[in-house]
Amino acid sequence: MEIDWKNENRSEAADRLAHALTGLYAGEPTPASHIGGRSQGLRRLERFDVARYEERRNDVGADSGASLLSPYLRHGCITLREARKVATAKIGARKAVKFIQELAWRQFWQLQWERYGDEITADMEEPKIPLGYRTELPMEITAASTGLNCMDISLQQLYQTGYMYNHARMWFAAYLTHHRKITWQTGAKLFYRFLLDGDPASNNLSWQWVASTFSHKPYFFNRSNVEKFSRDSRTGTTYCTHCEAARSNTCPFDASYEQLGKRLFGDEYEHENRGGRRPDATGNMATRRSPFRK
Amino acid sequence: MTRYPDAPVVFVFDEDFLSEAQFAFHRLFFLYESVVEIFKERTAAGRVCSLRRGNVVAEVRAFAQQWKAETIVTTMTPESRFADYRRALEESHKVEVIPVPSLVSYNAARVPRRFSAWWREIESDALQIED
Repeated sequence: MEIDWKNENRSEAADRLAHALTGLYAGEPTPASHIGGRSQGLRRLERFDVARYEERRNDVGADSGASLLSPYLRHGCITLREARKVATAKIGARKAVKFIQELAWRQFWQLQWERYGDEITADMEEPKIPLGYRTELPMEITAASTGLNCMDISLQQLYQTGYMYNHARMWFAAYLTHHRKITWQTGAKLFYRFLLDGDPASNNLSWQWVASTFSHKPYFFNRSNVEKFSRDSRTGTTYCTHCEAARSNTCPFDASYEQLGKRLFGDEYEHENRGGRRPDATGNMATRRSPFRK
Repeated sequence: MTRYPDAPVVFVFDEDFLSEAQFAFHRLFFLYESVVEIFKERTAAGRVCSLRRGNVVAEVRAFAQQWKAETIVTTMTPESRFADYRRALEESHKVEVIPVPSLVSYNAARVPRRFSAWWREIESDALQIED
């Protein structure tokens, strides 16, 4: 069936497309926060401050140095090579190495997909810690009302805009998988439905990296990590400043990594410092040691 | 489309897949805007563009027959659904699959399971500028 694509403006286009695609989507038919297309991708690439990237890529919110290019790279609006070329022209390849590594992560996940096919939707390896088996998403996750600001702010952003900062994705993945004991596939399906850059390889394998089924140990985080990377330099506030759980001393992340590791995975768990690092930052944080005592 | 600037183009919203996946609308709208930008450029140059919803194989085949195409050209993805569509279309047409431009040349059959090991192999290639 032919769909009319000659529309005058964004809201008219959204209305007409919503009508034409009736039954093929869920939720409200609102346009994305990112405008689609190659010219927008190139514009963002030109404006991208790659010099800030290394220091600020892990921040969420106003101070973030994230490139916001992922939807354009995912859908082929711009290529990995183009992104590298522009970044390198700005500050040189050596100084842009963190950004280029992020681009390389994207190809790395695609290569895994090419090699293993649909196997990436199941555990690639035995988990290194006990994982949960719940598959239902609790209501407070779908409503972005867990009472934990670091989860709810990011979930609202995901549902409304289709974007979530990578570091916030890791926090949420760790929360869902390790604190709530819900399967990583359940989380991956949620992300895939909403993320503008949703891609089977990056999505499934990043969840597996957090869950420890495609890494040597689980990823988890604590409150000080959230405070450090959600600080707004203008107001001095963080996600925790106005969080009810922080105020009432019920924050499930308010502990050292050693304490959290034992609480989540049992007394035998031994933590090696990996907190705050990202799966797409460097590969160096993954060691070959079992997280459990021999 | 760069390789075949004069060819008629078609984009199909996959009805079976999308009705099952139930994506948020904004995901589909981002794709739509990306496609429409290309369509506007090509129609301004007098080329044929068609946006559709339906069964991918049936819609693409009908479009190819309408324009008397001998070859259907598309871009590679490891998605298993894609392989099924390709096989089905090959029953009536020649199908040319163009690889996605990658950061570095690398054979997927050799890829290690950890990024650090892979990065050590490709670092010098990855940091080298081409073009």
